[in-house]
Amino acid sequence: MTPEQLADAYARTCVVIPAFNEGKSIQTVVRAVREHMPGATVVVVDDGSTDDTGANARAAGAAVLSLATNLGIGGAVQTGYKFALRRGHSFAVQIDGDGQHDPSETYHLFEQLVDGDADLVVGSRWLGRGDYVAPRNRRFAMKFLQALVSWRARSRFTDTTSGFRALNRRGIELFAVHYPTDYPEVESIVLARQFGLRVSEVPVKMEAREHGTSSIRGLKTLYFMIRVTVGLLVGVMGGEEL
Amino acid sequence: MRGNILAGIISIVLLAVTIRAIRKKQLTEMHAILWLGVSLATALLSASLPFGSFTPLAHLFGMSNPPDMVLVFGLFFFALFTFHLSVSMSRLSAHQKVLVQELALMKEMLDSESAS
Repeated sequence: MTPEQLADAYARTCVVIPAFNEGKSIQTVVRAVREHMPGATVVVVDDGSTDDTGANARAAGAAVLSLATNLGIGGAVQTGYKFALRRGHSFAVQIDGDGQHDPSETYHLFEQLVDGDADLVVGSRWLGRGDYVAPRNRRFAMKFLQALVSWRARSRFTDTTSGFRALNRRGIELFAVHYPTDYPEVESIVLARQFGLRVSEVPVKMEAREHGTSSIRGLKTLYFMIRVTVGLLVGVMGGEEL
Repeated sequence: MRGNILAGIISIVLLAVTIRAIRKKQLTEMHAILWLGVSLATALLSASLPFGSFTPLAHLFGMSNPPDMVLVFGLFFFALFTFHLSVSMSRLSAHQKVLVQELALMKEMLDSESAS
């Protein structure tokens, strides 16, 4: 991938940023994306926020899709992919609205996409770059999901909950139509594999969150684990095989 | 005997509530037919209890008291119906998701057109 190819890819890219009450950090994220991905269309999906997320995102120069009610991360991200599909974008990038993902790392995700070696590239915290350390109570859950997804997707994945990813037109076309509703990151990897997409992981650095905490904690962790496990075992879309 | 009377009262109340709801158009056709069927079935079942025509059937299922059969059928129906509601609700929330998404996409289109 040459710098010219990357610049050309960015010009045809839609950056999808799901955000729920991220009024404090959204401007920083949007500005950083615009700085590091010149020419890309930035769209913030405001998932029914009650604060000024939408207005702040617009002020920072993003297009804003405001959801009338809170759909949750899956429904929000899918709205962004529908936008990318209809506007004819060749690539889409998903970045969290809380500042956890560093837009200057995006080019790592594009290498395989631009060279045509993958349809969906997931940024992984665990492949050696950066020094992100998971909270102790999450390590078991993460290991468990790694094993489960690697088994269902029939290849090794390390960071199944990563919401930092890039996809090509094929990926956009799939996710605009089929995308899991709750906790979509994990299931969408297996879903993409079931539909014959080439999915790969690349190492990225991730920051600690700028504001707020993970949406998944406490009893929700238990529900998350059960929900994802059932989803993966039953088969994301009615059990089609690879 | 008291069991027969109770089953009779329950089925009459159920039938009355269903007819009232249908006349007020509170139920969609499919649900109206469903409830009408259920309340008529319970009514017939309770009405025929005193004649003992269901007693052999009740004994076959190990129930010594025939009115219990009405309750067991009722429970079975409610389990099925709750499941049906759960399916409908999932379908509704999927439809609602699409609507909310389309609305957001259209709003954005209007905003960007009026801005340019």
